[in-house]
Amino acid sequence: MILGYKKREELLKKYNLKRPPTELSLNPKQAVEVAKRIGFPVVAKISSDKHLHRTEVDGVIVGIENEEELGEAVEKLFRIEDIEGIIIQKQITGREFIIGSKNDQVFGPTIMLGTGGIMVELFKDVSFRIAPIDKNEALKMIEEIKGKKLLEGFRGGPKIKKDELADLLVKASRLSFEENVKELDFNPVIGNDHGLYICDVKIVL
Amino acid sequence: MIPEIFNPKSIAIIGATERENSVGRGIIENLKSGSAELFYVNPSSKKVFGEKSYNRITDIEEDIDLAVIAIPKEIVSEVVDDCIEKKVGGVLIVSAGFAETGEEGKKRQDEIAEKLSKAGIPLVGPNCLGILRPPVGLNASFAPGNPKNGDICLISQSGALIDSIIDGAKEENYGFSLIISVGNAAGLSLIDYIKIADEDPSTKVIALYIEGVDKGRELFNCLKKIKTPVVAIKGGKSEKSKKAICSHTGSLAGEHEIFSAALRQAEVEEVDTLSQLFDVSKALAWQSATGDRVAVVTNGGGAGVLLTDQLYEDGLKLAELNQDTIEKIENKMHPDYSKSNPLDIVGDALPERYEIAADNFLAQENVDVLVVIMTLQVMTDPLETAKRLVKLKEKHQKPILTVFMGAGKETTEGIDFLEENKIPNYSHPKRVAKPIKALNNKR
Repeated sequence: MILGYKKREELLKKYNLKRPPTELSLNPKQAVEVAKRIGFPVVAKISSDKHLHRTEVDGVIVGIENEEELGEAVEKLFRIEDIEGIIIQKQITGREFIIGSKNDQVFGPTIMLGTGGIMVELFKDVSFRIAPIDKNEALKMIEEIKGKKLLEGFRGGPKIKKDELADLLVKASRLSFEENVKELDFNPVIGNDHGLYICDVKIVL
Repeated sequence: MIPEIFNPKSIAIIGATERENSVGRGIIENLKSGSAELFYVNPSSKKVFGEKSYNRITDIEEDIDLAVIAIPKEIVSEVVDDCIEKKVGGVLIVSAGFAETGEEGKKRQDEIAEKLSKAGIPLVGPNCLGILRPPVGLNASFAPGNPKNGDICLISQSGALIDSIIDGAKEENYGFSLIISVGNAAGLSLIDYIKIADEDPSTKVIALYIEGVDKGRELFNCLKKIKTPVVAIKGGKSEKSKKAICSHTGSLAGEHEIFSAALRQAEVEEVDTLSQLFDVSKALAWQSATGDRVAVVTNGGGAGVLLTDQLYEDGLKLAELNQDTIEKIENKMHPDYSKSNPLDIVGDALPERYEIAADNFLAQENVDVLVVIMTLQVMTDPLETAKRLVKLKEKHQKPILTVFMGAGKETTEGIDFLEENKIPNYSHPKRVAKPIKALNNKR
C-alpha cells in the first residue's frame, strides 16, 4: 500500500524528518493561496497513490515563479486522472541525493544512500546497510559514495554538513525498521548551505 | 561449549561397508585415522574389515557418542528411531534425498528432525559431507583424506567444495581447526555452527562458503556479535527474480548488494575467490590487527610497483621512509638502493641487507605493517632471510607478510619456514593487499 499525503506526513513528523514548506491543495484556488503563503518559486506536483512514477504522467512542474505561471501549471495538473490533489512545495536548489529503504527478503529493512538526480540509476553510486543504523555507520555510508565530494562545496557548490546527512540517515533507518516499511524513497533529498530538505517522499507499507 | 559430537569417544557407522568406492567405506577409512572407538552397523554383513558388525545400533552395549548414518533415504527414519532408543550423543546424516529434492523429501526430513529435537539429540545434516576436527583427530566425513591440523574453521554450505578445498590445501601450510559441511541443516544450523566455532579455542578465523540463508537477520546479528574474525565467499550472485518494485531504491537494491552490505556491516571480510578465502584466512589467523600504513622492502623494482598499485586500490597507503632511517642504513645498502618506500634494496640483497632494511623500517613509529618481497636471484638465500624475518616479527610485534615469488626448492624452503612461524606468504604482489586490508579491518 502506497501511503497517501496525510499518512506520509504524519510518519515523517513522528521521526522528526523535516520537509521544505509543503502543503496539499485540493483545488486550483487553494493552490494559489498556499503558494502565496509559502512564497515563490514553488514546485507543483500531483499527489496520488495510483501513479507510481509521477514524471511518467508529467505530474511534476518545477520553477514556478509567479501566480500566472502557477495558474497554468495547476490547471494542467488537475486534468490528470486519479489524483487526490496538488502538492505545492517551496522550490529548493542544491545537490541532490537519494535516501531509501527496501525490505530485503533475507535481511529485512535496509537503508540506502546514493548520489541523486537523473543519473542515480545509471551510475548506481549507492551504499547500503541493514537498518537500523547508528550515526557512526551513517558516516561510513557517506564516505562510501563517490558523491560525497558534492557535500564538500565541489566546484563552488554548496557546503552540506555530513553530520546533518548522517542524522537524516539514522532517522530514516529507524523509520523503515520500526514501521517495517516495504519500500521507501526520499528522492530527491536536496542539500545546500542552509540544510537538507526531503523534497519528495514515497512510502510503501 | 563445543558439543560432544565434535569430540566423540565412540562412533557408530550405520551403513558400514567394505564395498569399494562407497561412501560408507570412505567414512570408515577416515574415522580409522582417529582415536574414537568405532562400531559398525550393517544388517547384511557379519563382519566389516574383520570386525564385528551389528544388526542394529541398539545391539551395541557401549554408549555411542555419535551415530554416522550413510544409508538409503527410505530407511533413515527407522534407523533414527533406533538412535533415539539407544540415546546416542548425536546423529550425523550423510544420506541425501531430503529437502533438497522437493516436497516429499522435505516431509521426510522434517519428521526426522522433529523426533531428534524432541529427544534432545543434536543433528548434523542431512545431505552433508560430514564434520572434521583435526586437532582431536576426528574425520567423520567422506572427504579425500585428512587435512592438516591448524587454526582455520571452514563452514560450507557445499560439501563438494570442502572436498576440493581439502585436496587443494594438501600442498599449503595452513590447516584446519574444524571443517563443517552444513548440508540441509535440519537440526544444527549455519548460525549454530558459527557460534560453536567462535567458542572453539583452536579456531582463530572462520571461513564461510554461503549460498543461501533464510534467517538473514539472525545471521547478521550473530556475525556482528562473535569475537572471531570471519571471511566469507557468497555463491549465487547473479540476480534471479526481481519482484514487483515501485521505488528507485527497490530497483537499486539487488539481493547481492544487500548481502555484501550486511557482511561489511557485520565486519565480515567478503572475498570473490576460493584462493582469496584462504589468502585472507591465514593472515587473519596468524597476524594481529593493524593500521593502514604499509612498509615495503623488496629486491625487485617491478614487484614493488605492482604491490604499490594494489595497495592504493584497496585503500591502503605507503608509509614514508624517514630521513633518520636512511641515515642509519645508508652505508650498509647498495649504492643504488631506492631511499624511499618501496625500499628497493637491489637484486643482489643477501639476508643481512634484508634484515637491516626491515629492522629499521619496522622501528619507525609511522609503520603499521611490513611486506617483504623476494625474487630469487643467483645469490638470494630465501631460508636464511626467512629466519631473520621471523625474529624481527617477534622483536617489533608488528605484522609481517611476505611475497617470496617462485615455487622452486629454495624459495619453497623459505616459504615453509615463514608460514610455520605464522608469517603468511603470497606468490604474487597483488595477492598480499587484500589480506593486509583484512588485517586493517580486523576487530
